[in-house]
Amino acid sequence: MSCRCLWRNRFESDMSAYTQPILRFGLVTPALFNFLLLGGALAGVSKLTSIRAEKEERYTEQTQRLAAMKKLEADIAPKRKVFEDQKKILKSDPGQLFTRILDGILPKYKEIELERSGLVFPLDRGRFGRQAKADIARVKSSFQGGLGPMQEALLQVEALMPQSVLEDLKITRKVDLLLSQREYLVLEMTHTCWKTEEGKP
Amino acid sequence: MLTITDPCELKAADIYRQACTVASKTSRATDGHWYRVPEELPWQWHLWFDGGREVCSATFSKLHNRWQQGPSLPLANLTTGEGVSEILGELMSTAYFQEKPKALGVILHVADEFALAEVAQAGDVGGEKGDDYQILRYNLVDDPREVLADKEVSVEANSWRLLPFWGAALTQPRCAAVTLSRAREAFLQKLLSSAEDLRMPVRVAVTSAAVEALAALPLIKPELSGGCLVAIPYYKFTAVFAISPNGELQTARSLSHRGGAVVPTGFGDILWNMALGAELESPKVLLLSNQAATLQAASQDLEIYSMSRQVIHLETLNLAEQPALKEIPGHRPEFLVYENTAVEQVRTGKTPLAQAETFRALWNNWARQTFMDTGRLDNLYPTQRDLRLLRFSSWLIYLLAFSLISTGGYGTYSLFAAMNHPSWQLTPEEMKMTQDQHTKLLLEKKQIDVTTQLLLPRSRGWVTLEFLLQIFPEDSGVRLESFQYKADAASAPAPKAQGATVKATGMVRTWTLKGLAKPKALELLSTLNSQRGLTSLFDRVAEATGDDAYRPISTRQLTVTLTQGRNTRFDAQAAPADMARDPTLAFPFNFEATITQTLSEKDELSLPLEKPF
Repeated sequence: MSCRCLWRNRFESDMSAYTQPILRFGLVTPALFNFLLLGGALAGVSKLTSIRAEKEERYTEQTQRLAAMKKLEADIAPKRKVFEDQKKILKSDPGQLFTRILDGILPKYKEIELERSGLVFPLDRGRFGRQAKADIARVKSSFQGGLGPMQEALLQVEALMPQSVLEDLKITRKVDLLLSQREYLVLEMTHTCWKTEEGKP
Repeated sequence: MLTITDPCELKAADIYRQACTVASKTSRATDGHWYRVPEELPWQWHLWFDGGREVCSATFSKLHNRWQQGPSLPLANLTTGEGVSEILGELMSTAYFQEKPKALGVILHVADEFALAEVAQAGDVGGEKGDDYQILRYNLVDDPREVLADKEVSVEANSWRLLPFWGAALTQPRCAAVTLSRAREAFLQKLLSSAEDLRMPVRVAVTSAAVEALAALPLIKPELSGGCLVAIPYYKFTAVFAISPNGELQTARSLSHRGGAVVPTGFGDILWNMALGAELESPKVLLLSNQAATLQAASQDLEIYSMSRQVIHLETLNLAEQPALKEIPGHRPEFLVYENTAVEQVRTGKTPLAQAETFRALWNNWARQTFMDTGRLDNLYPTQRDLRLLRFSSWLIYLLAFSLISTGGYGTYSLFAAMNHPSWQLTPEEMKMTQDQHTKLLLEKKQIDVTTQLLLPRSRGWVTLEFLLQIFPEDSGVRLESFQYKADAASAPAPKAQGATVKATGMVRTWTLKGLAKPKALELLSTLNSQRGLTSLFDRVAEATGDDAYRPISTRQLTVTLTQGRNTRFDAQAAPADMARDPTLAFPFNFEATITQTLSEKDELSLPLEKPF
């Protein structure tokens, strides 16, 4: 006989007529009922706790997000006006703008001082365009004249076109002996201009 | 009044209900006295009766080891049970005990009958006698007809308890069953019922006075060595016990008194025969009584027998004169075995009878066997273990209920707290809206940052020309033949981690200058060829133009390569007109300088790679 059976027999022999009913109705049944209720209550509380934790986590996230938004807004708000201007600049066609500005400047100078000898718009993306993903337009221009007028003209063009970046500049001396002109400078330059695609803000 | 039904007749649920009723309406659950045998209780009431007019009533306070005359009880009341409540009330006061009793053990010493019945298996007892006697003892209680030789006995009218003959020879019966009628149980039942109503633990026992008197013998006459017959005359009978020379009980007989005599008829013959049966060398008889008249009558009877028939050595013991019984009401030796101190004193002593198994067994419990089957009565009630279990189950249920209420309360509080928290009102739509707004703001910030970064003045033509003017001012003795400037985006660095994106790349700007120089310009070129001179030049340009792209900072690196040589066209003898026509004739040296500025991807003017929109 196993130990378990021996124990059971001994236990049963010690039991009175009351023992089993007390165990059944006084202990097992109410304990089961209570355990079920307690289990249900604990499950409910656990569910509620998890819902509460989730909601509070979301609330914390929302609060942090609102705070971040407030900070972000404080950071962005003063820049928004400038940004709108920048967007306008980027929206404009650099080729046309470049031409128009030059057309406005060059008549102020005599031919000997500064004269546009060429203006082309290369289609390849150039050195900057190959790396940057932003849309670009390139303007290749060449001039004859002196260094001072050229600097003045460039100052005006680049002040009005902050989207332009000087990619290269080449200056050489030239003498036109046939026309008995004194020595002048030939300036060739290429600007890369940032722009936005059609339809973008 | 509590009505108890036999649990065997009830369904399980009713049994449980009855247990709960017992636990709540009686003190059984809290008072352990309900589950003790009467002789263990500190407050005892001993009733002794021999069928005469008087009932000897005594109380015994076990704590103080004090005997006292008990409430008087007429013999009729012992039969009818009248006035039991009043007597119980009297006993529960401090009239009979020093303190108010919390329980009462009632022991009825029956001295009006002592019948010995033959046990069917009496001769079969052998081997471990103690165990066999115990088995026989319980069998006799549970099913007397199975054990007794006479199968026609009435179990309703009588009850039997085993009396082992520890010193019996192999050919003699090893035990007998002492028979008592159950006539007095009605009184005790009424006593129990009244006690139940008073919620007072009262435990009862019915014992055989003759057996108790035998057990008390070594306490009264410690020097007695055995090898004798002990005769104890009562009102209706005389109990005779044969004690072997080594102090063991060999046999017993109950001799009825006929016609109002105080000694049985043919007392001498019976004693002589018993002595022979017990194989005693010389018949010695010890006669015990608390009445001198009885002793005298028995002595005369035996003296006549000794003179006319056989010599019997008689010794009488007047119990009324015994110091051990002096304090005991009625000088009853039966009461003495309930004095633990007296029993222990003799047990630990070296007296001959105290060494015998008979008396040790009698003192243990054989002498105090109750003839009333209180076990059956006790079985009607839950055991102490059951009530403990019930109490434990109640506590457990209370604990669980408390846990349940606590959990429920905590849950309600949590729900209340959660509902009052602003998080409860936050809807997913609100969150989505805020998230969208945040995303929009982040996108806007990114657009602003990339656009602002993209439009930073990192390479401008007019500043480049100013750079030329700053590097070689007028009359510096330098004639520039050609100048080339290139700005190039550096190759994008590899991402630091997988999945990471590179947001910006560095830039390389190169200034290439070719020209002619006079000797006075050599120092200028030499300055240009040094890191300090070059840095100073860039700083100067940055200050003059306000263009930060020229400002030497840690994220930028400046390098220069300068080659100088002799101008082959230089003519030291050239006339001013020639020099006006060809200025190169005036410059003895030529040079070529390449200046490189490298901006890292960490530089504020690094080129953003992302699209702004």
